[in-house]
Amino acid sequence: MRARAAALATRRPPALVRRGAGALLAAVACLLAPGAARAGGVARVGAAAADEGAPPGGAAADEGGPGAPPASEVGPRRRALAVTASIVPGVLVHGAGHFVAGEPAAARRLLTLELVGLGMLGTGGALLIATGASRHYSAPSVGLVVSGIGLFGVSWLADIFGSAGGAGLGGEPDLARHPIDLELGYLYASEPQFDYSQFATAAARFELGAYRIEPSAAIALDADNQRLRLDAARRFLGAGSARPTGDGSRLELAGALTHHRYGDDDFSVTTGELALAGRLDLARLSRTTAGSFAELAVGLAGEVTDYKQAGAGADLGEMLLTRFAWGVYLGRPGGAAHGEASIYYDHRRDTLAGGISPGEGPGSGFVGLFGASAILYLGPRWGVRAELEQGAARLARVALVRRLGGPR
Amino acid sequence: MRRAAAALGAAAALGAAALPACVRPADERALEDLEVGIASAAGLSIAVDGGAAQVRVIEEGRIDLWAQAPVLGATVRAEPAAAGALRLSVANCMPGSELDARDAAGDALPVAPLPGSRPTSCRFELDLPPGEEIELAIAPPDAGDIARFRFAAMGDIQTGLPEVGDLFRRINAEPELRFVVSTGDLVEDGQVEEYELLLERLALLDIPYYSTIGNHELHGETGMWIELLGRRNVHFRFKGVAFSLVDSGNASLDPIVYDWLDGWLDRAAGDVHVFGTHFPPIDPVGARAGSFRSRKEAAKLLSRLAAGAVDLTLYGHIHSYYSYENAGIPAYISGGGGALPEKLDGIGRHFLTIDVDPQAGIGAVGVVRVD
Repeated sequence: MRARAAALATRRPPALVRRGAGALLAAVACLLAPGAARAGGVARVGAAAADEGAPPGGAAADEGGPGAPPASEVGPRRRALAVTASIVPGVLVHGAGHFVAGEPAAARRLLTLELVGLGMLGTGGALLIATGASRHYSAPSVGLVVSGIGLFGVSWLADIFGSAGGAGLGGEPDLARHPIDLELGYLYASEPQFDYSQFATAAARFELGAYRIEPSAAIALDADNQRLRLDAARRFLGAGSARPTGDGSRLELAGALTHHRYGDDDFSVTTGELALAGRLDLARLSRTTAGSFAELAVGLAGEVTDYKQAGAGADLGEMLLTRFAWGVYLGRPGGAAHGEASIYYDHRRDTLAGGISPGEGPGSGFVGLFGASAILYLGPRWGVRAELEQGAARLARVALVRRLGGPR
Repeated sequence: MRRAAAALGAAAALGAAALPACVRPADERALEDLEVGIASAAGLSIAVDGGAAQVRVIEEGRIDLWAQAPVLGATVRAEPAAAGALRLSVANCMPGSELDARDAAGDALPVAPLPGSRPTSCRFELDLPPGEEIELAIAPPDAGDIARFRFAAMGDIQTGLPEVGDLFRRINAEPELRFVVSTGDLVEDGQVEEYELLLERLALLDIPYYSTIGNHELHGETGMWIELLGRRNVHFRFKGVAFSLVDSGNASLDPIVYDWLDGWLDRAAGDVHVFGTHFPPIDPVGARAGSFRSRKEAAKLLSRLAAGAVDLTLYGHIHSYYSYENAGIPAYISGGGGALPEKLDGIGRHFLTIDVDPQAGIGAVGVVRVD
């Protein structure tokens, strides 16, 4: 792990995105790599840049500062202080933990990320207030607010992770493409508004080069309710694409079609969606945050709700899709166990979980769902997936995963 | 790796455990509705049918109510020591309402109407016999006539509360309006002073104001609503038309409220039925999503309303005016009570006037601009 972190530390500063693709992700990447912007725009990413013998510097080359011990050499007392500082005052001043741990450069980057997040939140919030949530400007305003909160949250979690020595866990991403994964599972829904509570789930995942296709189904065992979904994605950056990043970072254009039949409630919903989804390997931020990652997805969806009552017809609607996540890699590819785990926020409210409601106080009707997800492969073939989501309903899912075919 | 997985698992479990209220945030509010209109003190007891009025004062010889429906029924009883003269005051009352009081044998008791301080203040005096249950009916004389009438709809006063008197005076200027139905968000922060100001402003209206709550009534002093105004889920009938105003303050209806709604829909089968709630189940501007917390619940509600042949849906929360259809039912968003307005929409403070004919259905829906 240390060798990998060091290799990353000597790479040219990264930028994930070429002109125009994924403005938010690009903004993050550019902030992490100011040198890239100075160099006249977009740097070559990851391994490609390293292969060309890019000069050292950038993201992690100036870690620590003179006399500061590297993260791995931080003593237990200082480590405890750093973790404490990452929480208080770190909740407000992101990077405080890294600063105490002797990682001032990483601390500055985390603080910058926090400020960018707050800036986005403030800009989106100001737009919402100034326009009174105008129908003409809602989508960008809400998108900025949610993405800003995401950046704020990710920079804080990254500070805690790095301050706690999370990089020492040695997690690494699996960069191989696996042709087929099959999945069978069980989902429990604590849902007071509907009769269902138990679902059988099945999914498959096919990866071919830069393309991924994922059909999935959730069939209620105790009610007349079925959800079918087909995900497809084209990877533009990252492993398997024509522009590998050399780490877990990636950028995809993802689409999906979903049909959800609520037989007991006499309606069905069909949804089509398109989103730009990216992952940033946080090894690019600092060696202390190696082994973790952040994700952001932004997109739009259209849906048709078809009512079965005579004369009710169908309603057409659209949705803003915004999702952010922070996670860690578990183990190393080829090791005894390997996978990843993440916590996330998803702004959409059309899933089985729906959106969360905070009870008394503000927030009802705006907030989406929170979730935690983990997948762990126990050897090259078998794995297990677990998910928890809290929205209007509370969901728990476990699934057994079987991997077919060798990695590519 | 194990440490990381354990930490994430613990964080997720803690998060899930810390959110027990999230799945049913409104169940306690629904149960509180069941206590509205029931009170006893000083040898007097009263139970208002369906909780359609809150008992503000009950003391020796006096009962004060706040009405949440144009027609009230109640049972009142006086213990022997408390028998005798009773002064009954009904605030937020239909102007010109009359009190009919009958003893256990069905015989009418003498009732003396007293002058009210304003059109929506109805006051009566009657003698209660000892230990006997007396049935009261308070209604305007034409309440039972199945005939066309007009009402107003509005919502979202919030920060506009100090100036809402302009809007109420404009409502008073519409002579045919019988009452106002409101979709909530009458206060901004739910502070006591705001509720006091709200009552002052409502006193400017010449017709009663029936409302459910919005999300802003869940800020601050959340008990004030029920204490002052009564139920958060309101159902009544007037001149053959059913009205259901339900609490979606959490961008959701509690299952208890769905059960009530099912009953109201069943009882109103074949009749004109007006449904109102604060959050639009689905925001016509989907990307904004100022709507229910769950799209599937929104569809479920609309599916039920369609199955129940609801004729009109009224919403607030969005501080503008929208006219559209959901599940084939005409829908109006009217959030022009004075809250921070949606810009660039060409409309400011406003309210709706709605003609309804119990036999022909919903008639003209007008928009009255105040600014």
